[in-house]
This record gives sequence, C-alpha cells and structure tokens, in this order.
Amino acid sequence: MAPLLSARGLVKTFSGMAATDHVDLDIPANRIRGIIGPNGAGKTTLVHLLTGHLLPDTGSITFDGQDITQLPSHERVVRGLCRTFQVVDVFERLTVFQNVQIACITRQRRNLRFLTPSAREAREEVERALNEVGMWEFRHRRAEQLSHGQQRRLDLAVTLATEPRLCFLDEPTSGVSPRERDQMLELIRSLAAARRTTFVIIEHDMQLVFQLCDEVTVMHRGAVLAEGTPKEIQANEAVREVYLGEEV
Amino acid sequence: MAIPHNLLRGGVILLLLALAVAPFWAGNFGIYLIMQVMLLSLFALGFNLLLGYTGLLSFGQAGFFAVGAYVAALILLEVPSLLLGIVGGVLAAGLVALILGYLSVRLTEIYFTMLTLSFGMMIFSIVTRWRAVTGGDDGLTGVPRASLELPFLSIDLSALSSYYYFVLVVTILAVWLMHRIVNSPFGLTLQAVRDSAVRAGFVGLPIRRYRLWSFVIAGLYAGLAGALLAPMERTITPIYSHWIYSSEPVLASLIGGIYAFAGPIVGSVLFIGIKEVVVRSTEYWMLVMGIIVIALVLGFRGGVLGRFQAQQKGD
Repeated sequence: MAPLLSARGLVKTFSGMAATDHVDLDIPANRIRGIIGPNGAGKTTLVHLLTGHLLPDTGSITFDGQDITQLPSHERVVRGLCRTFQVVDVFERLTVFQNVQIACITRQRRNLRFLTPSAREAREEVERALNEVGMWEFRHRRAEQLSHGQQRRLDLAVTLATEPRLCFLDEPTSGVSPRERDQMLELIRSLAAARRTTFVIIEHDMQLVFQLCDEVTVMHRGAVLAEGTPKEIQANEAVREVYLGEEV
Repeated sequence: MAIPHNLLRGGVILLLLALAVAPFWAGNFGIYLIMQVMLLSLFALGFNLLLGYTGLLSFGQAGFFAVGAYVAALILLEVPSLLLGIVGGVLAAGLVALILGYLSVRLTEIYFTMLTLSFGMMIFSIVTRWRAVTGGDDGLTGVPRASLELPFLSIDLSALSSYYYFVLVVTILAVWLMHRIVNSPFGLTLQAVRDSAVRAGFVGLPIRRYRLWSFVIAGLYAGLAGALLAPMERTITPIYSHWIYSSEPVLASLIGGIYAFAGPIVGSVLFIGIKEVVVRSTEYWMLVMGIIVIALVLGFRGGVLGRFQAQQKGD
C-alpha cells in the first residue's frame, strides 16, 4: 500500500546551515510513528516542512498521492494534514468551547456567515471532541485560564476537530507533570485506536516514543539515521552512538 | 461583577428612549453633540472590529472616513438625494478599503500600522491637492441636507432635528448589524485570527482573507460615519482625512475597552464629553485631554468596560 505521506530529498538551510539535509521519509497510514533525535537534529524543521509552516529549498512532498510541496498550510489542513506545536498554541481569549468550535466551523466552511449567531454552531461535534480529551466540563473557561496540561489537551482537541487523517504532535508532553504525561500517552493511544487518524509523535523523550509508537525514525544532524520498530532502534549501533551514554 | 443581562437590556431601552426624545430636551447644540457621539461610535466600532476583534491596529481610518464624506458631499452637490449620497460615500470608502487593505494585510503589527498610516496620509495629500474636485484646503461647502426619498414618501430633513432622527435610525441599524457580525461565525473567526494567526492557519483558515474582510468592513463603517457627517456639517475640509483624526477612534476604543462590544461606544461618549467640557475651560485643551486619556487608559486597564469584564473572570 502506498504511504499516506512521503517526502523525497527535503532540504532546508538557514544561513548556510542545513537543518534538514536530503530527508526521505514515508509515513504509512494507521500506525503511530515516532520521530526522535537529539536537540538540533532537525525534527521540528522537518515537521514545519511537511505541514507547510516552512517551504523547502528543494525536494518534494506527496500526501495521499498528490504533490503538496508548495501548498500553504491552511490548504494542507483542509486535505487532512494537521499538527500541534511544541509550544502550546490555543486561542487564549476564546472559551474552550469556542476554541474547538472554530475548527469545526472552518471544516464545514461556515466562516463567512455574517449574521447568524455562532453560539450554537456545531455544538454536537464540539461536545464530542471535548469529551474525547476530557475537557467538556471546562467548556465555559477561557483558554488562558487553563493549566498547561489542560491547554495541551485543548490544543489536541482543536487539532482533532479538523478531522485530520495525518496528525503531527510536536512534543505533546513537554512541560506537563508526570501524571499528565501518562494521561496524554493513554489519550493518544486511545485516539489512534478509535479514529482513522495516523499520528506522528515528535519527541526527545525516547521512553515515551518506545512505549507508544509502532515505528520510529531517528534523526541526526538533519538526516535520517535509522528507521524501524522500537526494538530494532534500541538495538541499532549507530543510534546508540548518537545517544552515547544514554540508556536506549 | 458582570452586568446582569436584564439590567443591560433595561439600560439600552432607556438610552434609546432618551435618544428618541432628545430634540425636546437637548436643544440644537445638544443634538449636535449627540450626533457627533453617534458618528464617532460608528467610526470607532468599525475601527475596533480591526483592533479588538482582529488584532490589527490601523492608523489610517480617517482616510476612509474622508472618502465617505467627500464622495457623499460631491454626490449631494450634484444630485439632491440623501440616500444616494450616503450609499455612494459608503461604497466608495469600502472600495478604497478593499484596494488598500489588499496591500496592507500582507503585513502585521507595527508594519501594518505604519502602512495604514502612510495610506491615510496619501489620501490626505490627494484631498488637499486635488483642488478641482475636493476644493483643496477650503474643502467643499454648501452640502445640502437633501430630502430622504423613499417610495411614495419624501421626508424633509433640512432642519437639524429632522436630520438627527435620520442619523439616529442609521446608527441604531449599523450598531445592531455590527453586534450581529461580531457574534456570528465570521466574528468568531476574526477573534481566532487575532489570538493566534499561526494556529488559525492550522485549523484551515486563510488568515489574510479574513483580515481583508475585517479591513473592508471597518472601511465601510468609517465611510458611513463620514458620509453622515457631510450633510450634518454641510462643510467638509481636509482635516477629516488627517492622521490626527485617525486617532479619535483609537482613543475612543482604548478608553471604552477594545474587548467589549460597547467599548467604542462608551469611549465615544466619554471622548466627546470630555473634549466638550475641556475645550470650554482652556485653550490648552489638547494637553488636558491627553492627561485625562492617559489617566483613563492606565486607570482602567482594558478600558472602562474592561473593568466589568475583568471581574467576570473568576466565575
């Protein structure tokens, strides 16, 4: 089966420094993929390129058989390619309800309704999405009033409300408590099982990736160093060298 | 302490009643002042759709106000039809906003602000230099307060108190319309773009397009305020296109509160009221006005109405 997303020869340089250096990547559907690597390995740049936050210098990206290399990010979202950010990013002054609602309204292309009240738009979908991440009871709160862990969950709910087929989660547990980290892990696992969404987790927490993912890509200095199941990666000599001194 | 819904509704009804009988208690000068408040309110409501709801600070709104005022005046000087003049002025301002907005929304933050300031000043120089059409520094004089021609009905508005009712009705309709707009899916979309443009892009929103929509609506409201001003003052001068005039909706919105729908309206009442009192007592009115505005903006973070919202937070 053809991969859901594939990238060929992706290069992105910042003032002469190659952040990604001829990266080839295939993401098959319906598996949880982890992308790991030390700081500065080019993980986040790669996700920026794949989701359209940045455009590559050279190389190509196809999603579901179509070339999306030059497509702006909002059009990739419409085609089912979404993401969260490393630094949690929610609509701060909007309520939890409205945060998810805006994603639903956008997916249904109802943004240009000028005169109907928005209050009850897409209520059932919002309720479903917020229940999925356990945030329905906070629906009246403004996003800025939530704890960091709650904002992470909301961020995920907003992303899922775009109904992505492929969803990148950039360090979904950074900055949350150990308890919240485990909850997030469980949440991602159950979402992957319940939805037809393929998740790609970008992490430097290796243990989390090994616990959660079916397949792992290791990046180092802007290139793909190794790819395989968690077991294969743990046994890989080159990976051990990069993470020298760390328990892999 | 949020304002209870019933109290708010009662307050609005009382206000409308007071406005409806204003010509009987306020006198000509009084209704002239009230009209100034209404026009500034429209001007500021449009401006605040950009600032408070979309997160874009425009310093060129006087340009669109002036386009509305001049086009309405030019039409009225040729054809004595009030509706034609007003509609023409509004549409012209909207068109200019569409063109300049298309160029401006490519930038954000301070760069957007500077660009709108420059475009505003461009309109100012056209208005002062293009003597044959705009009358240059002298402006346009003798703009008639033409009758309102409706099917089977012609209403004479030449008296200021009659014209007052026209402005009142148009203002109420425009405020109502804006209230619908900000509470619609479109209004929610603008607020999402305001809070995080990047995140808005990643829920699938083409953010520039929505910024442009907001810019055009702000331009239409500025144009409406300008168009209504022309028959009221009967004289239009380039001062209305100067960037100093662009600061009036900015200040009115800041004083009233940019995150409250009625903020720009409350701010307009305070702005015109303070100005009127201060101008009478000193020739250094700008200095005094400045101090009062600074005190209000610092004393009421988030505007006078923001005060009520802030306390709502902990519910």
